[in-house]
Amino acid sequence: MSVVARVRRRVPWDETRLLALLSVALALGAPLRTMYHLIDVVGSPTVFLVVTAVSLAAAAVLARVLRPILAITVGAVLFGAGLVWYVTNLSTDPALSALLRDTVALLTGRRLLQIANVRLWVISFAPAPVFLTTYFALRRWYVTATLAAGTALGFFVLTTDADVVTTLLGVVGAFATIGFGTLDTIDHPDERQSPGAGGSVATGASATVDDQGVDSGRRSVLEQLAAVIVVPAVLSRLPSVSGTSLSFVDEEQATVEGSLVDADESMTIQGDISLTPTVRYTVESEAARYWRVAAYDRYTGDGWVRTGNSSPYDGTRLAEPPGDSRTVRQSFEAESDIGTVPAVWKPVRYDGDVDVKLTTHDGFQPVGDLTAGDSYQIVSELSVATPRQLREAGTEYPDRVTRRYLQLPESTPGRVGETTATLTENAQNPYETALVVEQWLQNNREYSLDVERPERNVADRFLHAMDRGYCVYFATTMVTMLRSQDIPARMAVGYTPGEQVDENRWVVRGLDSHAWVEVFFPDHGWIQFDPTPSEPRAAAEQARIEEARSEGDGAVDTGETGNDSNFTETETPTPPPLTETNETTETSTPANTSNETATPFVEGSENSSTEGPAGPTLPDLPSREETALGLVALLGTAAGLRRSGVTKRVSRAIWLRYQRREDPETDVEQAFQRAMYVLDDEYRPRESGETVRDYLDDVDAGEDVRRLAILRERLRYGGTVSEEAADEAVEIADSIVSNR
Amino acid sequence: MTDTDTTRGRQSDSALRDATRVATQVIENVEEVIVGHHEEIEHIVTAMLGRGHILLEDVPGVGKTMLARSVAASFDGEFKRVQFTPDLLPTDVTGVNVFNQKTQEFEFRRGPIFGNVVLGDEINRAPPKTQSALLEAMEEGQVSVDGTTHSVPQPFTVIATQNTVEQNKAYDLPMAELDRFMTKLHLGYPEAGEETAMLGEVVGHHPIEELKPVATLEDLQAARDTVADVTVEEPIRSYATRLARYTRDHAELGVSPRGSISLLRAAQARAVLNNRAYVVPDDVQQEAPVVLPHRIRTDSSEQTAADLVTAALKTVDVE
Repeated sequence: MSVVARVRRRVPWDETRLLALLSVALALGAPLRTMYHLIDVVGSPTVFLVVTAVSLAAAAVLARVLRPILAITVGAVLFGAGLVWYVTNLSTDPALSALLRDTVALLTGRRLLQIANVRLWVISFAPAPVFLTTYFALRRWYVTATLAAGTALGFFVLTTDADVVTTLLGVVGAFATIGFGTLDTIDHPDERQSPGAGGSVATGASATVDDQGVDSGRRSVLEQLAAVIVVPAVLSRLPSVSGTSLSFVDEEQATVEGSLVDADESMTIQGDISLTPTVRYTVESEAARYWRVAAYDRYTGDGWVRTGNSSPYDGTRLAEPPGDSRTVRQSFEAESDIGTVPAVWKPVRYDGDVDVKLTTHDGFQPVGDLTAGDSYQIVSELSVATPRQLREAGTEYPDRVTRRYLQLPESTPGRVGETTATLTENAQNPYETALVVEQWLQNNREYSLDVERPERNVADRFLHAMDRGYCVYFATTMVTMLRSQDIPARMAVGYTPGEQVDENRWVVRGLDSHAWVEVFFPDHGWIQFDPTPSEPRAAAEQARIEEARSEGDGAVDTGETGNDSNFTETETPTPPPLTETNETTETSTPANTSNETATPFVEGSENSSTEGPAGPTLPDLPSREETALGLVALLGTAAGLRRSGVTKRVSRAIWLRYQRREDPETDVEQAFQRAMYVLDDEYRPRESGETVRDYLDDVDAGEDVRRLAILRERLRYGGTVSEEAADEAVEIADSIVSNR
Repeated sequence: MTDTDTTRGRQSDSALRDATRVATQVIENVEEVIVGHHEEIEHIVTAMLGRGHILLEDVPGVGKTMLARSVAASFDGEFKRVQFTPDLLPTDVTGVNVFNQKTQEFEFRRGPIFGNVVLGDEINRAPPKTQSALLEAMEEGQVSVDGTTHSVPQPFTVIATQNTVEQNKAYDLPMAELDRFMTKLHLGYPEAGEETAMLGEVVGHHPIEELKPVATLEDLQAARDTVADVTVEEPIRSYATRLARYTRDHAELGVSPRGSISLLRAAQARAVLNNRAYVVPDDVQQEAPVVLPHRIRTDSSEQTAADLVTAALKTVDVE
């Protein structure tokens, strides 16, 4: 009896059961991991961990005593109680229809992170699947357990909160659970049966057979798992299905515009990125400002989410920003089909060809897409708060602002706050803090579109480890730094003014898309800051335009651009500073349109500075999860090869042809085995009770084989062997193998 | 397969050659008298070389006694014969203390057991007490009479015969005592041609009268020593063990360790007969059918002990 078998008898859970339970843990781990991440974004995960642990423990205890039907009831009650608890704890009192609409929106791809009280939601949702999965796994109802875990994971897949790797891990876990679970149930006929009914008396021989069955079963489960991982990865390489399947590699390089402006209610921070030279809008405006598209409030560590629902806009005038402001009218005309309606902050009225909705951060969003030629007019109220006013604004933030705009993922390292606190030691008020942070980022980080995307905590990485990035990195980091100092801030995206083609006229291209920061000041509202160094950015954009022009891309220009006669001097003006860094200039305000710091773009001369780092880069190391999946795939492939007999045949062929000489005894024995293998192949295998002599007589073997048999016989039974005998034996075996 | 290899064992080539020659000569000599039964003769000789005793079992008249006498006559040692009858006393076998009138002392008068080759005819007709007198001599190499032990001469071999007819008038040997015979042989009727030839030879002058010894007791003893030195490597020992265990797993009473020892001794003798200084599995397989069956009691009437041994040889892995 093998050691394994002996251990198996002593340990109440054999390995198959252990494997099955581990698989269940993996399957349940995927939704839990997603939930943990959700919780982590908005607050401390302690309560969530406690709730999960209690559910687990309860299930483990009750698995022994509770009947399945009661367990299902308990699960349903848990789910219902969670739901009730969630609804009653909501600060607002939503109508049932609104809740239902939200649920449908979730199931059709709306991220759970957009739910305002995601923490409450997760905590009330978590116990039911954890309880049911654990309970049924311990009862050996593996399919039901998988169902419970799978439903939870499936939900997060629908809400797109579960990332690809987590999903794959969960799916592998589910498959493994069913596979190993089936083996386990076969192994142990059924606990529900009366004792003794399934406990057949297994003799030593049949136990071995069982073991082999289980082993081969495990191998086949491994093979299937490998298929689950490998097949989609391979299929996604095929042109016809590319992009529809899981893929560990970015499909193609993203564009800044695609990642920013097109991002609907959430955006993920990208790695390498490129610029789109296509013309998007022609703008007639009384002032050159950032054309703002949207803002995001919830930072997830690797991206941004806009919480809350957009509301319909009926054409009425919206609330003006508090404090002094002046009116700026703009008229936009779409030059290509596009799904955004940019406007100068803060828009108060929209009038245009396409209906719009109002997002939670007072941005407009078209109901459908704009087609080329569509136009709309915007009336905006521009805050004209002076730096002094902003300095004196104080920190009396309304609750609705602090609740939403101070959020940071729980996993954000403390050093972000520490570093920021050190940097802004001398700042007396939030305004100065914001200025210092903005200035510091502009001065200390380079602008580059070639970025190795950090795994998590983008802001922390950009602040402490990276030395270059583009606007998203700058803006994300600044928001995070400000929030760490309890200053409400959010991320805004949109377009820079673009190329000025007439006194009040600008051409906006895709490459003008940009991200910046909005900081809240009491009595003045949201004030814009831009931590991105403007010159290298403008240079990169201009270089891209030139490149596109030289490639003959017709979409780069309108009738007004591209010739030198118009406004060459102020072409692509660096956007006016959103805040004044010059403390002495009392008159210059963040809202001032003065161009005093606008630097005329020096054509061509700075192209080199926009190039990404030219040094050699290391290939990305796979993450832990990817490594684990790869390992499973590898094991499964190995098992498959083994089962198909490829490895065995290959090693057999090598063994047969190339005998490595060792000591004479081994040599003779191995030579003999090789010869026997050939005979086996040519005639028949030697039977169990048949002596070598009888066998050789029966198959009428040749003299050389008999000689080899005698040599081996002497070694084996006579205890005599010599180098010469070994040489002779190997020689005979070689000739037999080559003559066959 | 021919046995042309002459491998060096632990002993000299000449000793092995001498032993092989003794065995071959005895076999040839016996075949002067006995027609056919070549294998049985070989088995008897291997049992003698392997320091064992032989039990011949068959119906009367097939030449059991003749065979035993021929083997005995091939050696120059003392040959004794005991005809077992229901009224035979133990002392009739072992000998008895008689009072000598002249010396006024008891002196031991040796019984027929004191020979180098003892033929026990129809052993199953004697009562158990008498049988055990013979069996003690076989096992211990000595007999006890009135508290005094007397050693039997060496070499000492018992060839016993028993009838399988008239079972109601016989005292069957118990398994424990059967176990002490190394081999149990069935002669069977000779083939038609052999029987005809035999009849032609014996109607006139029986050839056994002219049979001369071809080996001395010293030759026999030397051959026995040679056999005892034959190499039995681990694979062979474990094969014998596996065979024995197989019989224990598949029968009511299987082969005892004493049976395994006998099997290997017989196989050693077989190796010498084949002029080899080491035992190969074939030797074991050749001896097993005569060494093992009488030590086995099967648990079904359909399968005989011989069948079981055949099955064991077929099933048990010979590496």
